[in-house]
Amino acid sequence: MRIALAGNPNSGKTTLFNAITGKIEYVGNWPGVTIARKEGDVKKALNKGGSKIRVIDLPGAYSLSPFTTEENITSEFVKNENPDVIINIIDVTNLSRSLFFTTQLLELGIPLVIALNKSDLLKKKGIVVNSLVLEKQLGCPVMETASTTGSGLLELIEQAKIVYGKTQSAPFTGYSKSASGQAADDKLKHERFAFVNQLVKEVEMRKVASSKQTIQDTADRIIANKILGIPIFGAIIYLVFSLSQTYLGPLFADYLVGWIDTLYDYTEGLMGAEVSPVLSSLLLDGIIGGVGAVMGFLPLIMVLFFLLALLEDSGYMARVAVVMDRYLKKVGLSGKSIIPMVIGTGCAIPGVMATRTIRDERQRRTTAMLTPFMPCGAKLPVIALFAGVFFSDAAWVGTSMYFVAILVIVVGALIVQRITNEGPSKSYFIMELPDYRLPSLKRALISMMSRAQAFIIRAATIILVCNAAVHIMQTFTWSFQVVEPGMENSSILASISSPFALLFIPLGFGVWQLAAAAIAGFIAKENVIGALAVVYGLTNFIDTEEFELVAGAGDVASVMGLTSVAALAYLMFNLFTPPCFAAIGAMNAEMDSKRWLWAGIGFQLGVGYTLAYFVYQFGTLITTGSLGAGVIPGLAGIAAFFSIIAYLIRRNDQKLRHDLKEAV
Amino acid sequence: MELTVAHNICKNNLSGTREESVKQNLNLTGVEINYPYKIKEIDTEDDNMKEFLFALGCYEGEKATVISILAENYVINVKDARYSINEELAKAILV
Amino acid sequence: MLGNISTLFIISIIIAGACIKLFTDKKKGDHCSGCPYSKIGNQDCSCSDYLPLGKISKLNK
Repeated sequence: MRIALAGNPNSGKTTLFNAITGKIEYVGNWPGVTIARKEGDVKKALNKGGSKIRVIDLPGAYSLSPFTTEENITSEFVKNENPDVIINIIDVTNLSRSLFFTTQLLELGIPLVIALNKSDLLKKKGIVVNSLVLEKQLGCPVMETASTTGSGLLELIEQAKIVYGKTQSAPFTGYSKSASGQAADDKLKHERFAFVNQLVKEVEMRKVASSKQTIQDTADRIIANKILGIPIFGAIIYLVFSLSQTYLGPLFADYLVGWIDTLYDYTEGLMGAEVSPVLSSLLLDGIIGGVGAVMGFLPLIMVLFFLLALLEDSGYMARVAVVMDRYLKKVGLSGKSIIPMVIGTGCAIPGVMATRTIRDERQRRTTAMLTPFMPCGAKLPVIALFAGVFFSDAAWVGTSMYFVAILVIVVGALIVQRITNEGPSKSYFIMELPDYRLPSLKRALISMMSRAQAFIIRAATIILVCNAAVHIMQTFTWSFQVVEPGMENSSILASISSPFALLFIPLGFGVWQLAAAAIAGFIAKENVIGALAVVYGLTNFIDTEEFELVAGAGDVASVMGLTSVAALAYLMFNLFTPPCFAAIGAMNAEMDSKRWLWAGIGFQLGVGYTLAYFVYQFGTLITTGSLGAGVIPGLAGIAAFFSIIAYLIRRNDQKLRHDLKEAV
Repeated sequence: MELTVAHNICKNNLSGTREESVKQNLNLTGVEINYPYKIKEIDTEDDNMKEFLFALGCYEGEKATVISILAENYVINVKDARYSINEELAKAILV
Repeated sequence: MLGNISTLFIISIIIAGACIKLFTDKKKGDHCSGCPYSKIGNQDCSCSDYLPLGKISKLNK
C-alpha cells in the first residue's frame, strides 16, 4: 500500500512524514524546503500488525495546475503514479486556502484522508473548526493531528487503512465536462473557490479575523526593518558564533581532543619501536592525526548546528529572505534566490538543487553559480580553525565571513547581470511568511545529531582516504624512495603543489604545504584541516590547556609561518574559491549548460584569488607599512580577470544597443 | 553609461503609459494599511503568476489587506495567510 | 616483521572500509557520503527527479 502526502507548502508535511516513518528528513519553518519526493515506510509503532505501508512525501503545492517545478512533481505524481491513498495535510489555521487544493485532490477518485495539522495552534489563535461537518460535506475522513507532538498519527494511519481500496467521490459538482476552453476553466475555478468559501463559513469560527494586526506583525516590522534588519541579522549570527566558538564549544572540545590524544599515544605504544617508521607515521600522523584534527572540531560544529537549527525552526529565516530581497532584486536576482542560499549555509549541494524552484533560467543559473559562496557546514570547521589559531577565537571572523559571502553574492550577481542581461524585465516575488514559533529543542537536537553523524561519517571516509593519500604522497619521492629528512621538497606532494604555490605568493601563502591543503579542499573542505595537520605534523588545533598558555596557540601559527593577515587571506581563499567537487557536480546538473558551468568555476576562482590578494596586500600595508611579496604579478593576474569581465560586459552592452536600435 | 540611460528612458516610456491606465484604479502600493480592500483585477500578462495567485485565493472579488510595508516589500493578508510580496507584484494587484 | 605486517593490515582495513562505504553510498545515489542533505530526491531512480528540470529548460528554449 502506498500513501502520498500532499498539501500546501509549510503545512507540516515533512514533519508529519518524519513522525510517521521515523526518518530524519530536513525540515525548515519556511515554505519550499522539500523540492523532490521522499519515501519511507510507516514505523512499526504506528502500523501494528499490518503489512508494509510506503509513504511518499511530496513537495508542497497550492493547486494541481503546477506553477513551480516542485508543484509539478506533486501534481504529476498524484495524477500518474496511482497512489493507493492520499493524505491531504491541511494547515488547520488556514482552511480557506487549503481546501481549494483539497477539492481538486478529491476529484482524482483516489481515497483521501484529511489531516487537520497544527491543531495544537487552534486554541491559541481562537479558531474553532467543526471537523464532523467538514467530514460530512467533503465525504472523506477528517482527522485532527499535530505532527510536532505526534498526536493523532495512529488514528490517521488507521483511517488510511480503512479507506484503502474504496473509491472517492467528489463533493464539488460544479464540474461540467461538456464545456471546455479558457472561459469554462475560469468559471470552474471561481465556482470551486465559492464552494470552498461556503464550506469554510459552515465549519470554521474565528474569534479574531486573521487580517488583524498581531504581535507577530509588530515583530516583523522590527526584524525585517529597512534599517534594523541587517544589524539584527549580524547580531544574531555573531551570537551564534561566539556561543559555539568561544564559550560552549571549546568546553566540550577539551574532552574530545583529550581522547584523541590518548588514542594517538596508545596506538604509538602498541606498535612499539619495531614497526617501520613509514607505516607507523602513516597510521599515527596520516590517519589518526589527520582525522583527529578534523574530529576535534565536532563539538564546536555541533553547538553551531544546534543554534542554526533553532533559528531555522523559529521562522526567522523567511524574514531574512525578505530583508535580503531588496538587495538581490537590485542586482537582477529574484527573492526566490534566497532560499537556495539559506539552505546553502548547511550544504551547497541541496542549496544548488533548490535553485530549480526558480523559473527564470538566467536567474536560476546565476543563483546556482553564487550559492556555493555561502559558508557551508564543511567550511565552518575551517573558519573555526583559523579564528582559533590566529585570532584567539574571535567571533567576528565567522560573522564577517557570512557578510563577505553576502557581499560577494550581490556583487557577483551584478556582474553576471551586466554580462547576460537581456534588457528590462519584470520580476514578481511572493513568499508566504510562516508564523514565528518557539523553536523546539527536541527537533534542534535531532537535527544536530544527524548533522553530527554526517560530519563523523565524512571524517571517517572521504577525509580519512584523502589524508592517507596526502601522507603517502608526502612520504615518497617520484622514484618511490622515502623522502630524506631535510629534503621535504622532493616529495610527490611538494612537486605537485609547488607550481600552485608560486601562484599563491602574491596572496601571502606561497608555500607548497598550504597550496597542497587548499587543493585537497576541493575534494571536501574539511580536508584543508586534515591536510594541514598532516603536512605540518600537528595533531590538534584546539589547544586544550592553552587558555592560560596563550603562547601555545601561537605555536601552531608559527609552525605554519603565517602572519594573521596572510592567514585571513588563506581562509578567504579557501572559502570563496570553487566549492567541493560534489557541489560542482550539482551546479552542472542544475545549470544544464557547460558554458555556464565553466564560467561559474572561473568566476569563483577569480573571486577567491582577488579577495585573498587584496586582504593580504592591504592588510600587510596597514600592519607593516609596506606591501607584501609579489604585488605586481598578482595585480597582473587580477587585471586579466577584470578585463575579461569588462570585455564580456561590453559585448553584452553592444548586443543590447543593437537590439534597441532594431526595436526602434 | 549612455546605454543604461537609454534603457531607462525606454523603460519609463513603457511604464509611463501603463501608469496612466493604472491611475484610475488603485493598487496595493497606494492603499491604507489594515483596511481590507476588494481586489478588482490582477493586472499582469504573466498568466502563470495569475494562476498561482488564484490558487492562493488572491483574485478579483476576494479581499486583501496590507499589514505592513517593509523596505520595498509589502506584507499582505489574503485568506488567512500572510505573504511578503515585492513592489512590482503589489502594483499588479488592483483594488 | 610481524609488527609491520599487522600494522599494514590494519591500515589497509581502515582505508578499504572507508572506500567501501564511499562506493556503496555513491551507488545509493548520495552526492556526498554522509551528508544528511544530499539525500534530497534520487531515492529510486535519479532520472525521475531530474525530468521536470529537463522540461523546464526545453520550455525556455
